[in-house]
Amino acid sequence: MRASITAERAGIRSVSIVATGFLDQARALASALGVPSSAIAEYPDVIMINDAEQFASNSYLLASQIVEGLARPPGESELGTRSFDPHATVLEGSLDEVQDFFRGQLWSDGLPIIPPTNDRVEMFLGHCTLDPHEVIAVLPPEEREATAWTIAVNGVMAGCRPEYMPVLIALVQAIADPAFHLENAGSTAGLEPVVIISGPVIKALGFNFGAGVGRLGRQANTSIARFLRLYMRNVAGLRIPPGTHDMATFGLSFIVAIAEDEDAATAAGWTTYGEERGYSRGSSVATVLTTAGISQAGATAGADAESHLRDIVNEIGEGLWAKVAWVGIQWPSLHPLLILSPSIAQAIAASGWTKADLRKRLAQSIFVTAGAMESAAWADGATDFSLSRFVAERQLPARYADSDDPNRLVPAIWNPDGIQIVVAGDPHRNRVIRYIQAGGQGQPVSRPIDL
Amino acid sequence: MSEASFSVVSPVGKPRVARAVVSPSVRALDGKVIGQLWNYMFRGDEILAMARSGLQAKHPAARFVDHSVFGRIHGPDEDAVITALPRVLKEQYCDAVICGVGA
Repeated sequence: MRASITAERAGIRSVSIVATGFLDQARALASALGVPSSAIAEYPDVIMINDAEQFASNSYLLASQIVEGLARPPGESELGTRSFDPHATVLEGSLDEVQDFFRGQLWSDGLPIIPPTNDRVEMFLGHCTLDPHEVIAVLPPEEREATAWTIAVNGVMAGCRPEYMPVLIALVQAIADPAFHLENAGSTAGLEPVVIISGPVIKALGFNFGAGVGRLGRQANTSIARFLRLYMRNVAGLRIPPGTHDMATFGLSFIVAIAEDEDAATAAGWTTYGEERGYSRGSSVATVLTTAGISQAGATAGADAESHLRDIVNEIGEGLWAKVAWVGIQWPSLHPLLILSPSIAQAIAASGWTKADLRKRLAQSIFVTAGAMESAAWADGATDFSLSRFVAERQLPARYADSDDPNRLVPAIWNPDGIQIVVAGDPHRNRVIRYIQAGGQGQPVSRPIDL
Repeated sequence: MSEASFSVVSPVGKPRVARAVVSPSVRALDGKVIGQLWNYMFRGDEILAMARSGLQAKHPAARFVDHSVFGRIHGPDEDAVITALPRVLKEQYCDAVICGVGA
């Protein structure tokens, strides 16, 4: 729709071809972008499951809709003025009435919320130096203004503490970065943001970085993650039906924020995650990336790095990284997140490997057949994906197309620098977990936390 | 039991008020130039080709500009392609646009 809207803004009539299941989203997006009357031609089915006959029939039928859309009289000349007073009381009522009202407005995630009263919001604002109504960014897809005020309101609702406010601001600044591509966060893959916290703020605010780091249970880890999903709902506009813009086929629920066990990383002789993101050890940093899924917490064993590499590749390597390998080539960006328990980090480091060494060896060890990669791309809708084309365009090394054999093995990860490594979890266990990252949508973006 | 009452505020952000755009209708397609835009997803190249055939059957004098002229409207070069789009549409003398595919 964005290209269509750009054409409309240039004074050129456009018609967008949209499959049935995405009509509401397309109309909502067009409205948010100021062209509510933008014309749509409906492809009446699920494209990627149609056989040749259905596909041809459905495609041919589009012509008459296109003619109609191009000829349609112009729509409204101007959107109505939208009054908006962020301080206005939207309801005065009991706790139950507040819950019902917020659910009815699609403003809650289904869990009870803390009522956002002006007094509570002000308590949060006492922990930031921003003007409450200064526009930090306009968040797609619903094109609403992100401000310290709305951050505080959603922070209250999520059950955060007022002193978390600097973290909440950093998170919103991160997802507002164009490099994060928030506009694609409602894709059918059901992506979910993952928060990684680095630096002194971990201990200052009581983040869990040890056993059960990924579990609900610590207020900082849990409520901050809940906040981010609420903010994406209420300000970015990503709501599942009966809302719009969130087109997750299944979707994940909010993922508890991860904090690194920086003492363990340092004891292993490794740089911390925050340092790898370009910040000093004394800086507090929030990083956001998205995931499309999480692996099992596979055990790896051995006293040396090669043993752990073998187990990581066997257990959570080929089967999972390979499925999204095409995304990393297409965008080109892939940032899988690997969380190692401290004992594993210690064993790998004892062999003299740095985080960079581990990344390099993983990339050298994980392969997928070319046919499987191209097949995965096709099923995802990337219907022009071709390894040979990328090689011809010099975007991939020649080895990716050194034959036509679909069973030839090619590296799943072409750029090891994208692999994110964090040390966290139970220091007494030997497990690794991996978060699948979704390429161009939600690549890691970090912002300093202004404590 | 006496329950507390809460005066609560809205969590949504202020909508960025955008002026609605009014593009002129394109009624007679013969003699018109139609740009085809593609996000390089969901068999859009085939869909656009078939839609084009359907249109040309009734409007043989309509001229089409292939999606390759504009570039990928979704992907790593998206921002640059979208930014350049008004200029390229003008350079190609486009009267209308067909854009695919949302799925």
